[in-house]
Amino acid sequence: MRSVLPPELRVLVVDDERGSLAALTAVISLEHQTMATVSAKEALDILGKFQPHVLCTDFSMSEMDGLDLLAHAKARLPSLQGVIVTGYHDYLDTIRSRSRDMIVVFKPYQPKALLSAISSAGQMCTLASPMKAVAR
Amino acid sequence: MKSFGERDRTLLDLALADLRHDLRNKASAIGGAAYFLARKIRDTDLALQPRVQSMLDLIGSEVEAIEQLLAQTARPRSVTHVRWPESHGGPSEEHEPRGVALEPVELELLLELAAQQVEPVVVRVADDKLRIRIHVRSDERLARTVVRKLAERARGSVETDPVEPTQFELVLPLIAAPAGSSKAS
Repeated sequence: MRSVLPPELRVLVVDDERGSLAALTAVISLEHQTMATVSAKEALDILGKFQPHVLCTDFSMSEMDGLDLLAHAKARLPSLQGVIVTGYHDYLDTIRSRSRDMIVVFKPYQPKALLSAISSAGQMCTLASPMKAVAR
Repeated sequence: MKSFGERDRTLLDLALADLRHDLRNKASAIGGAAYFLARKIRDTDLALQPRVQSMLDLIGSEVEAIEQLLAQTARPRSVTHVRWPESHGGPSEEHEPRGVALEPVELELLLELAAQQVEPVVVRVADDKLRIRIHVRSDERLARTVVRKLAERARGSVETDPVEPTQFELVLPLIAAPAGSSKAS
């Protein structure tokens, strides 16, 4: 049986802390194509050119939070799926109350769990809209 | 009489929540970097050296230990319901019987911050949300933390003024009062 999961996804990674962003991007780049930025506003500018399948973003950022970024991004790219990475374990209900349309990964994340979340989001993207797989 | 013990504990709670967040970011970066290196060397001679693998495993287990330590500092909190008082620009109880999901002592902290600003607090009710403007001095990290954490606790969000970054607008969802809920004094 042929898998519906593309061999590699395009993942836009956003975190306003450079150390966190570097590690997140390095882990995801082991299996997918990535672009990274510390700026939520720049992330919105990148969307059109990069056409990501998945937006992997920190929750708490200075310019705008991850949920607002995801909402703005989905308005421009409806098939885009979100993975929110957060250290705010106390506020899961806060995040869930604002949006259920994403996967939440808690920091400190297990890298395998993060990669699994990205793949799951990619599968949802495939179901939302047919997309072109990126050749390895 | 105001309970300073409860107020101080709440402030400490909010500061610890901020510290937990920062430490989790650091631990994540360390764990992620170690995983990346482990994957990169797994097909090389380095992976055959037992001490290399044991050191990578040690990083992973220590990161998990950090998270366990952080989890122990978290205090359970029960979400309650308070009304933003009319005396501070809140909607009248008659027209707007709903409140925000904060504990009374948390509301007191927000009102303290609101009272420190030069301009009056602007409160607007729209789309089932209460919008509150708070101004904090640029060097007050604790005040910024309190604003952000309380917004998150109330399931709301914080918008920073792009022109004046010390000016925040809190957007707090209004929720219906549960039976027997507390009222702001």
